Amino acid sequence: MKKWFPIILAVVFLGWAAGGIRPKKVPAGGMDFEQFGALPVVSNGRCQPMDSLARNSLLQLREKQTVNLEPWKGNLEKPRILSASEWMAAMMMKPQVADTWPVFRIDHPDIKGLLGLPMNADKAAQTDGKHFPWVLIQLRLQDLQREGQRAGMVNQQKRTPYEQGLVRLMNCVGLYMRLQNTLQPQNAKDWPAELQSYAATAAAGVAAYTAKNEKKPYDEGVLEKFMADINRFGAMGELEPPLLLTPKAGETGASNWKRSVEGLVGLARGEPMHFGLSAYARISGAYARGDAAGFNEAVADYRAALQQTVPGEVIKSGREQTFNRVEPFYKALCMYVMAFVCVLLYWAAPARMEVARRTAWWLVVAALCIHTGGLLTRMLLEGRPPVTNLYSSAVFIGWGACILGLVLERFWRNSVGLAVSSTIGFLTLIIAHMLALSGDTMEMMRAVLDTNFWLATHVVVVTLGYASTYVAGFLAIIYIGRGVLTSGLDSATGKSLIKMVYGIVCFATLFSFVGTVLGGIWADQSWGRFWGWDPKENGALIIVLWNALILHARWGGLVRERGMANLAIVGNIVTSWSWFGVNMLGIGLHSYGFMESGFRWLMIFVGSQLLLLALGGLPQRLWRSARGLSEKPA
Amino acid sequence: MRAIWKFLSSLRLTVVCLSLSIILVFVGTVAQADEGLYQAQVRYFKQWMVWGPMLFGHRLPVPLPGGYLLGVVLLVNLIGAHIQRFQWTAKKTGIHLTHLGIILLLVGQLATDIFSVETFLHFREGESKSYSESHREHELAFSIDAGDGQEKVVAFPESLVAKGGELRHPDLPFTLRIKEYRINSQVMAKSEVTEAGGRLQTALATLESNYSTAEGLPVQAEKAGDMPGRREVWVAALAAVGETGVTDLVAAAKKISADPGRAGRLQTELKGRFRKEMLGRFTQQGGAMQVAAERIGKGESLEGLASPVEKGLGSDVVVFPAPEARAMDTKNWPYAVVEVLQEGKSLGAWLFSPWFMGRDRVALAQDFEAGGKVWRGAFRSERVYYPFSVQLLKTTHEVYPGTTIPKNFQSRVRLVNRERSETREVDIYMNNPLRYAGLTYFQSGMDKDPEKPGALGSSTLQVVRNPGWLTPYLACVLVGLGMTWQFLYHLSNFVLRRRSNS
Repeated sequence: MKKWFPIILAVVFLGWAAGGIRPKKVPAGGMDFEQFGALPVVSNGRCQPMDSLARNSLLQLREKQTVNLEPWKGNLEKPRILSASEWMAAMMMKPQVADTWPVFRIDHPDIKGLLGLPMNADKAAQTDGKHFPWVLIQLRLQDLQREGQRAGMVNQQKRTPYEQGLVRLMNCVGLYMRLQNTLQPQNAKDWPAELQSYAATAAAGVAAYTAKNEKKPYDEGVLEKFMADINRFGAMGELEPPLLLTPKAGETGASNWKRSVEGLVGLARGEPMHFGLSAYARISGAYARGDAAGFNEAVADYRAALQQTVPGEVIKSGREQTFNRVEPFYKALCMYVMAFVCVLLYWAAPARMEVARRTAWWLVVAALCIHTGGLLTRMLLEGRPPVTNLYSSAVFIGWGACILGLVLERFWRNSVGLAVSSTIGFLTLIIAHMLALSGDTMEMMRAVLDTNFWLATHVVVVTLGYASTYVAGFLAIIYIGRGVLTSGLDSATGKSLIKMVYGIVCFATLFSFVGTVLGGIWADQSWGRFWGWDPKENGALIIVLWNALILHARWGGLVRERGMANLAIVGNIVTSWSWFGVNMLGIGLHSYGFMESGFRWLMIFVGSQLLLLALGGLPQRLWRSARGLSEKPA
Repeated sequence: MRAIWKFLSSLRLTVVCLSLSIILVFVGTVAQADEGLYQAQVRYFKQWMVWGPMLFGHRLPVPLPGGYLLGVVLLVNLIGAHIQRFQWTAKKTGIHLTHLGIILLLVGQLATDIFSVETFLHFREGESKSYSESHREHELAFSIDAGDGQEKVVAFPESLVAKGGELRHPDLPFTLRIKEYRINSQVMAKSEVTEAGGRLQTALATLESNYSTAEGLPVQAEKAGDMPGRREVWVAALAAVGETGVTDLVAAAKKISADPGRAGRLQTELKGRFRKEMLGRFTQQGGAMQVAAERIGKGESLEGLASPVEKGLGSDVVVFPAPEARAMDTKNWPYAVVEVLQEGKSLGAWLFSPWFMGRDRVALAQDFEAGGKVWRGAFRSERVYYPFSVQLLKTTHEVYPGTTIPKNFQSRVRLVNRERSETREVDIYMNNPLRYAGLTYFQSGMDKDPEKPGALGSSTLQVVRNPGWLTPYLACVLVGLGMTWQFLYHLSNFVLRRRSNS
């Protein structure tokens, strides 16, 4: 049993992850929102399933991928939770209902004050004091707009947290209104009927309009109705909602998709009705009536029609929806945590807990499988190398560090490599999760970055450089932590740890140097200079210099084991600085990923590393493992 | 001597240099946020010593060695170490390759720093140019037609103009006397400034009349209620006359307007505050309005503005000297008043400045007759001429659907080299420059509205001459190979040793 337990556990976890591949069953008589969520739509410059649009929108609005309709209830009271796709259906087709759902997360008390929202959780009033529905926010919309505009004028780096919150909320409001005007005008009462009557009278309306301009007699009633329609479509168009209508026959590619409003205006120009317009009107009608069978049938029919016109997009949307449902990075994250717990168990009693080490090993292997699967799926969906933005760099650093950790574990079999794999895997996936809150993580690449060759070489290599520098740093943390705080570090383990640090630093020097120079060559190709002292370039250079310094200091005999460990911990600070810190300076060509709240976390991390350095600075005779370290290895 | 040699080639020195480099790069990077990208580069990296370096707005008590000094010391240290400890063994091969690559990289960057020249080529669709222009440097150029569509040009670099005195050239039948020169200025049409002044005066007069009666105060207060910015001024003015913490402006205004003494004080407060606010707002508009607002703000009249010269383009403009531009993306706009002398006799004085620019950034020349020929003079961006021409055929600017994220900038150009009877068309786009005749053309900017496909676009190409451009490629390969060699050598040794141990 003991022999097979770790493997069985890992397989169970793999099964748990794979379970997400199949969609949940629709309850009898229910609407199939999964199928609705698989419909393709073009937003943020790329074709994606409705499901991705819904999840990314919810992440921006309320930092979760689902909607909790009763956030004032505790988890045990079973609050009603909606899937992202179900919420999106309501947003597009029954906005009046969606307006009563608390989807806006607002934390800053001054913003709540400005909008007159309840400050604290109050079960009787059915509020948790954090999430609010549109019906409450719109009561003080003018105040929000006035203050939001003012905050928008303030330089980004000089905004107070209140102003940052305002700007964020304004963006959310814009997003919210866009979504509600994607399929039909948000004030539509009975969309299929309205669309039909508009289509039937559009030609007459245009004729009346022309007649009026030419000062000829015209039907006032027809013109009035036509202008009312055109005006509300115009208001829809100004919001620039996502693109719902497929390209005309003979055209392909995301750039030829059209907004609903363009199809509607096209009707007035005498163009035939786009099949998407009528299909969505049918879906909308069935949804509004609460006719589940009709809804499911309309969605299925439309999907079948799409399979004829845009088969590639339908397949891709389906795949992306599955990817969203599986949530591989979240599941890998959970498994890294479990693995780390097992590592701690092993360290508590290495002699008796070998099974814990083996469990950790298999858990990390399983997590790595899922992590890899997620990474590959992302690459497939995007058609890009693994790292395209800050989010994917976090995922990739975790992946690279995890593999390095497993390699170390293969050699030494003392849980040290597993500790590195699980901690860095966990931390980087948490960082990735935070970064995903800002929206779509598969965004399109700006012109200068639109090159798979350099993304695959420079970016991947330099990111591996980051990953390996972190691995060296975490090995050093284990050395210092175990040496100072526990009595478990003996001289042999210490020596092997520092050997690992040394090997990994060599590796890191190679990757960060080659990656940095490749970056320079890319810059030479696109901007005409190899080196421009841009902050991100300088950050990468500092990593190279730091790694080179560690190596030379060791070769020159300037540092021994404790010194190596301390230098490697500084490597963590240096790497974090160039990964995130330089983006926060908000200057230079690479400053596309400016973050506000990240700064605090960076400072906390740097603080923790300084604390470890202080521990590492203690003379070795004060360490709890002093005796173990001073003994000669047998 | 031996001690010095030992020190210069020691690992200790390497570590010190690396540490100082890290500090320098860090300080220099942070400084970019405060001092500007370009300034910080010059002050920290392209320097032997950095005096008074700044970190997050605080002056550091010690000077730092600059980028040049550290680069050179590292180079000496590297070369020294290799001369002293050179061994050709398998164990050391990787290290040698790596260090050779680094030497190449350092030397190559030094060469780039010294020899590379960066200029720009800006043209409209259809336009053909056989020169590129400097971004920052200017020249005072005089030209005559040389027939066959060619022209003969004599150009003085700005540094000579800056020295003042007289300029001569054997090809010029006249002498130039620099009467006035400023490195940066604002030159604008006199009419523009007086017109802006007029508009500002009218606005100020309306303001004055708005608050001229006590009865009008409540009306104005009501108007101000919903205007962001205006409300705050009212609250401050009310506070100044003793009404603090006011929320209802109209009620407060009504109350005060009933008391003539306080109403008068409030009127004065409001006029003064709104006048200051208005002048500030107009100053921010820049250009002629800024000049007018600044003058009126200081109580100066706009009547006394005089043009510096009587002939040519300069006769109906006014010039304002400006401080030298130092930030990354700003540039200087100099001017010079130049008297042209032929055989000791003055032909008149002209104002030359890059401010005189026609459509699409082509310098406007001013004609005058000397030696029986018509000469054209201009103070323009410094030009580099080439024996071939580049014509812009088509610009493409694509964005991702439904967004403004740029997808592609592309210029299709025709390259014509008569000397080599070469004519061909090339696409230049991001990450795909054109390399030709030792020059590299990069897509740098584009002025084209993606929404209006019919409109004529223009394109800016960056033109770089960098004889050392290949060194990083070689260095990367050498270091990559060297480190991989070293790494694999150690790894295989390590694995073998473990095998034999177990």
